[in-house]
Amino acid sequence: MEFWAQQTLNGLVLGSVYGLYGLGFGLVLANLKIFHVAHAAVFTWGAVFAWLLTTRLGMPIWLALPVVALLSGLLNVLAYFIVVRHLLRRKHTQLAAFISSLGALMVLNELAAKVLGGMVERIPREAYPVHALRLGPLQFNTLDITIVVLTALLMLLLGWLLHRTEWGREARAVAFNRDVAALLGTNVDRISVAVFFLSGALGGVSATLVAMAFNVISSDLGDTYLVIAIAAMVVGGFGSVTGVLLGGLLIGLASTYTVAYIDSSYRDLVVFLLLLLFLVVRPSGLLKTSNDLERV
Amino acid sequence: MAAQFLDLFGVYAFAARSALVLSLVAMAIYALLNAGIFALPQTGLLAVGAYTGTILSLDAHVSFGLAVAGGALAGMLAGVVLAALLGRLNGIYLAIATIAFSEVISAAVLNIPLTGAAQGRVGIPRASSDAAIVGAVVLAVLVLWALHRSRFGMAIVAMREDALMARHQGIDVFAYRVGLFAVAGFLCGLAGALNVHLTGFVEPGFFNFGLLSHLLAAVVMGGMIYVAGPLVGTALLFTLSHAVTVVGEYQALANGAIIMLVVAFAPYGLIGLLADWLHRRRNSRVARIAGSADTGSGLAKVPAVAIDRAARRTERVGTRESVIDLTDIAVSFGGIRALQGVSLNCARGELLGVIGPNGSGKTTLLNVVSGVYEPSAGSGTLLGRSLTALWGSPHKLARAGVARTFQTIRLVDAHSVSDNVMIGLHGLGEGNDPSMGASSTNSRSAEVARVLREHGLEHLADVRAGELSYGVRRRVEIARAVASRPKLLLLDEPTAGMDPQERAEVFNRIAALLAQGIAIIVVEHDVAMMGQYCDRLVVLDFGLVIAVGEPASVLQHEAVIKAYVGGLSTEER
Repeated sequence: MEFWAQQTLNGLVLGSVYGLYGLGFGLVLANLKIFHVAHAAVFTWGAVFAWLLTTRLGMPIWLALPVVALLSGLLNVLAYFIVVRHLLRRKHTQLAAFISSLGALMVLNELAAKVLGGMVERIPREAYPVHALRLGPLQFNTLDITIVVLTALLMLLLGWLLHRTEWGREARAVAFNRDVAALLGTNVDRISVAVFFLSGALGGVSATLVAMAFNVISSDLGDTYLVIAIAAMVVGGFGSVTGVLLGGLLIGLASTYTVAYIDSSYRDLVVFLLLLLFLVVRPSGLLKTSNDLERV
Repeated sequence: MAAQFLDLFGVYAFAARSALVLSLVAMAIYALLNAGIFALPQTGLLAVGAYTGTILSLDAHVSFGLAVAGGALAGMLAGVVLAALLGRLNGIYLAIATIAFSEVISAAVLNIPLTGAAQGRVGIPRASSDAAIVGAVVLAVLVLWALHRSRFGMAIVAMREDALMARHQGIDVFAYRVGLFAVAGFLCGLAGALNVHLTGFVEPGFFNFGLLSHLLAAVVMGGMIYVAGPLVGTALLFTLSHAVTVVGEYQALANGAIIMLVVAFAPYGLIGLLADWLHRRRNSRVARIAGSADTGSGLAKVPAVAIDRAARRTERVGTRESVIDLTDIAVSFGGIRALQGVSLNCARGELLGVIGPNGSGKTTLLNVVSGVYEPSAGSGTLLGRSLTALWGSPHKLARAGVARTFQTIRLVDAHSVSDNVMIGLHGLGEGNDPSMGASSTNSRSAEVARVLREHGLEHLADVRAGELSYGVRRRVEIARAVASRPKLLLLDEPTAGMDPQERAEVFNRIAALLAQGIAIIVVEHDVAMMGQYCDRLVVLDFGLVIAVGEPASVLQHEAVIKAYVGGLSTEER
């Protein structure tokens, strides 16, 4: 029982990070109906930014995080302009945008590898003092709390942005139907820029949290968690903030339980099978938000 | 191993062999992308072939040939199962699902004893000779080329360019997808089995996303819609990475940049650029010779006299066999009832006009009959045969003898007029007319030529559909629909945006088709014109049939006048 409770706690911490990463994909997917795979590289760069800021500039993590969010957001906006925007009027936009984004992923990953010198790096411990805590039989630390609280705050902020502001109303209109939203006077291009910024910023923050939680920064950080983040997004339902968070938590729990009760070598298999199962049986995800799922 | 001919690549001989084997995987990428199927299961299928080949060689001790055949067949089987499993998933969802499939395979091999888990397995006989490798590649190219040249090739183009249109030509898009997954699986399985017998070992790290990206870069660079694309792309990347040291050092960076540039500036790759250049050059030469290429409407040959209903009456034949009968058809979208209790019929050689204000359900009606929508209630028969099993399946209805044109023209712009009409012939092989069954390429070309002549389009046979004027494009679409020798033809606003002379010309074509005994249902806005040409009119308003019968009486009908002109609503009365 104690073991189970401890694993559940670990799973929830892990899951909230997956959810945050998956949400970045989900936002862009909802906005443009494209699979912006280079988001994985923006994620990697988020961790690289955090590493540069904490090591080269000696920033504490609370100061570095907002800067990481800003830089990752801007990097993703740059990706929008260079990689995606010119393909939106194409006939086979989805395919073209995916391939183009894949090209950007390869370039950005390689550049990250050059910056990291091909090494696996770490965010210095001085940047984020961690204190161990106990609550009854449960062991956790201040970093776990930071991750969960920060995720919750970001989700709330995003939910507020999307559902309580004029901008959110327009963004949701674009997600529903881009052409109609444009006809009704929405500046769809500006909405897309903002969506790419938000998704990049979320990616950067979640990457920093992952880098701290697993104590590792490498050029394939984004790729490592790519399919897991996609699983979180698919399981939760595209474009739904709550859904992706739930999906992330589910995936986090599933992978933690697998490692705890079966074997660590089955972790990915379980997660990917869960992803495939949802795609085959319920492609709309846990929370169905859009009925525009594409079928033949 | 004895000296072989690929040794002439010197220190790069092994890299060349490896690139050739992997070009088979690139061809598998082409096989799916060329059909507009956005799926990337190739590394997973490659792993299936590689491990099957390994196990057959090391544990079952079969010969090299059998191991390779086994790998290819296992890949093919995996492809078919995957296609069936993923059902009708499309777009990004299909892409994600197939990438997830590859990840599942990679994760699974870690837990299957015979695969050697993370360490992989060594000691596989290095039996992949150059002859075997080159033979496999040549064979694969020839098979893909034959497929491209066959009637399936044109169907695949139609699928890629416009899946909905393709289904209306009798093309079973789902069956094609399963078939192409089988082809991709076979190619990947073959490559996997050949590869382990080339390197002598297998390890799970090989089948990663990076490999997929590299091969995708090759296909995109060569041109993803050309049979030669994968091979050209693989050769180019191979040359670049080995001849230019800088590129070799920054392989992933270069590949990524190339992908982005090609997608942005040459969507169909280097072969696409070349093909475009040749096409433009030929066009300008033709234009110089002919003064100006006649891609206009070719109206000169058309008599100014319109064959209207009165003129057709005189030559009408005796019995009027009913072609289609609809009874109490209803369609609803969510809570909106687009059609309610619609009943109508249309006989051989009859022109039935459907009119009604905007949003009255005219196009919805055509969409039900052609299979876009499934009716929520009601029944229908086509030549006495119940339509129940065909509802919602455009390809089945097309094969049963229903052809249509669309409100917005749906032609394959990058292909010639004759290619477009060829797509219309597709359904003939699968049920409509057994005499056309296994028709050869020659007899199909002859049939296309006949249809083009009949529609006064023969001088435009080789012109790309995208280069034609609007009115001619409409005529090409009608020719494509008629090529399938339909029993029932549905025309959705065939004269929209045309001048009176072009309209008269379209209705003269319709008159000729009616004389052949085809039943035609036409949707148009121009009430006066419809009254002049149609045998009977059906008037729809808010999804209900408010009048049906001879034009003269229908147009006098009070409800019809009210629907068009407006008038007092029930509350105001």
